[in-house]
Amino acid sequence: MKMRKCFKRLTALMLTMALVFSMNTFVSCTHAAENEKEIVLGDYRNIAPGVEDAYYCSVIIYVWEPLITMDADGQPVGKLAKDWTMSEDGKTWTFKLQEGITFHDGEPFNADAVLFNFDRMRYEIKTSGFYNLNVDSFYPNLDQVNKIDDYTVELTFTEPAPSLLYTMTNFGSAMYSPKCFDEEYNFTGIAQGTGPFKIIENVKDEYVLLERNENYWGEKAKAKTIRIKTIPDVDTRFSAMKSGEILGVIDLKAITPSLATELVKDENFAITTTDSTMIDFLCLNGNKAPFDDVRMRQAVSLAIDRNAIAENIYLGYASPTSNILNYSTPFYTEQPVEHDIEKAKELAAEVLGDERVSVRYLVQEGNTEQKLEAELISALLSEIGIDVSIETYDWATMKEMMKNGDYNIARGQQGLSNMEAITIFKRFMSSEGDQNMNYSLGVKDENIDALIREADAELNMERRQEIYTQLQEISVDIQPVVPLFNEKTLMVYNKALEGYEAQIYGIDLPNICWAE
Amino acid sequence: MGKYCIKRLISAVPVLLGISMIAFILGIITPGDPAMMALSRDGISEVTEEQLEEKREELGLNDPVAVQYLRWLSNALRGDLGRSYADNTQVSGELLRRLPVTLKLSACSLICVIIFGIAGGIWSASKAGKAADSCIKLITNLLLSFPSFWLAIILIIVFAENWKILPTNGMGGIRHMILPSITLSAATIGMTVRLMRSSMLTEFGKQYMLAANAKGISRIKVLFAHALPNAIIPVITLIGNYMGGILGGSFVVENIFSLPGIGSYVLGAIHSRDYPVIQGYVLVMGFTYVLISLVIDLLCAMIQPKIRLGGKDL
Repeated sequence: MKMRKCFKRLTALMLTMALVFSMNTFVSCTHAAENEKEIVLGDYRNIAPGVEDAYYCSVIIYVWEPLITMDADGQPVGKLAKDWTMSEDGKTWTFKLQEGITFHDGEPFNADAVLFNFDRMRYEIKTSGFYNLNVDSFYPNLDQVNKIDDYTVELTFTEPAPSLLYTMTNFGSAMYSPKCFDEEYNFTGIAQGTGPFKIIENVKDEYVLLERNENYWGEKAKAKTIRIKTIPDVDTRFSAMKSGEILGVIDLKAITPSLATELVKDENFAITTTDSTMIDFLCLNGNKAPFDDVRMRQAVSLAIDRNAIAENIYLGYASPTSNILNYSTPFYTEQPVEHDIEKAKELAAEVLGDERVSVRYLVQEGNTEQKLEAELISALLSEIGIDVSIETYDWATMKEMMKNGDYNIARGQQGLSNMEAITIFKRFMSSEGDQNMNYSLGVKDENIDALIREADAELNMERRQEIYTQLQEISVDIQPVVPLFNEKTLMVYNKALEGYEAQIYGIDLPNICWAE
Repeated sequence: MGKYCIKRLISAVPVLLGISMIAFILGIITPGDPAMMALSRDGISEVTEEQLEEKREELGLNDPVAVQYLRWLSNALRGDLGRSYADNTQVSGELLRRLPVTLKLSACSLICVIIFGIAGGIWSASKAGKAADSCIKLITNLLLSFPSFWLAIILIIVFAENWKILPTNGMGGIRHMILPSITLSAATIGMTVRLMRSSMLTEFGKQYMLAANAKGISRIKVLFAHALPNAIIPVITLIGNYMGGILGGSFVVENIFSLPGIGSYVLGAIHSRDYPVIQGYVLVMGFTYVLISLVIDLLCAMIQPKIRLGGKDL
């Protein structure tokens, strides 16, 4: 009996020791600094959704490269295209390609490969969770794609295309090996690009495994292998960061400001942030009272304290704005952000008189920040005579209600599909704009329509910029939507890594490595 | 036994038909335009009215509801559940790929229920009125009152964040299944312990137990050979019913622990109005549920001859 007890105790002791030992090795492993060791990062979605997606994977994992990319200011710069010229009438563009590059599968990158990728784009619209692959949105009025020589390609257009470089950045000019596709131009397997990383393994909903491309034509990536895990729940990503299972999060919306702030209380973690292409705003139903009157829209805009929202709800990771154009495009101009409750009261009183008005305010289900923000805004709006009832719906339902005009205020957001500002003006401010219709904004202004038409036909980029500035000023004045703030790309990482730097999209992946 | 089996299988057909119809109608009446959702997957691109109309035609959304239903049903019978509107994948293929994950999770949870639930109940009954019994009662109360998402977070904080002995998420070996299956089975364990306990106590009060005890049969034998077979019938039925709950509740757990099962699949589909996925899910779940209750009934019939003989006494 005594022996048994003794044996039991011994086993318990050994188990405890084994546990402590294994924990120690785990902790020390995550801090080991060898650059050949795998780096594990986390994302909320499949960053490489696979063959059913038009792009197979996002540009942020550096597997494929575009002809034209953009720099930190959103200006177009060459990637696979070395040099380019536009003809005087703006209808012909000639691109010189980088030479001596091969795709991951060994196929050469040349004019034939570029032509093949254009054939793919022109075959049909291919859908994607990132951007739809639609030749008409990236290359409006494209006529012909010609090969001049092995490393020169010419694009001709039926109308002048002076801002082509802004529409064809990144997703607009993605290049893949022609061997990747079947006869309908769908992917047959892993995407073969020219980037500093290649995909070795991709398990949907679990992870994608990247390896350094040793034959990369530019500066090679620092890390040997990077695994990006798909972790849909934000609290779980937070826990995985704390436990050391992942060393950083990538992608937009990968972490909320409150969780990021909580995480960096631990000195092992740090935040990296930059401007994002997302803008958040309130849609006001301009087709019915009270917001069919421009003074009421102005009153709402003046009543909202955007700084309080940015500071208190988004903890400073939001940049207040009253301009419909997102701040990451080079065409953006700074506009005043006014908060004046007295002026708002006057404007509202002009329309409402002594009456009060009841409105419905729709927010997206499951979004705590949007709910808090709605409460703050409704408190301010009640001061100017607007009584708000907040209702939550999922996005599909909200969209339907907005299209049918079955709302007064709704929370929306919009990303830039490219850096060419006119897309946003057309969609939100022209009488026929799709978002103008979808959200029942009720914008109908011949002056705006004329300005947009003028900008569209303008070959001189400086003159174009002038019109864009004018349109931004009009947007601040009439508030087609009431912009709240421009988002910030916010990411966190473990200090075991270095070179972790947020970009407009994603992070500078080739530059990250284990810290010494 | 064979006859009983066939009878039960036939009675499952109208149930499945009903389920499929409800699944289909639910998809139709919820607001949101699937064509719009399919074309604006990126949430950024501009969608024209012509593109929408073309997509609606392609997806067959312009046909009368009855035609859409019959087309879907006839395809479903051939194993073709259509393609997801959102990402264009084959729904049946995707469900098949994900089903093993959910089944693995459910099986692990079931094992937890059987081990902790039944054993806890028997132990609690055998110690009725003593301190151990009260202790188990307290634990079961706690298990029953924890919402699963909360329990999941607590387990992750303790075992993954602080002690770092179990992973927070993802697929892998059995280690990856421990936290999710505990979360998923907690409430069922609580319920099972209570039912097993009261069921055992009812049997303890019966005359055959008195007789067995009087004969001087060992306590263990009385407990397991005499009381247990009678007491376990309602528990098996309950576990059968709760299997449905476990399968249905798996979407919360799958989402938190990043397990690519069918629960997390349907969660995404509901948000994007992906009818084919929702319908496929409901059909597969309905079928699984009917199958489980069939297995449970057969199991009970095997243990208790009374059931298979239609309630007639022997």
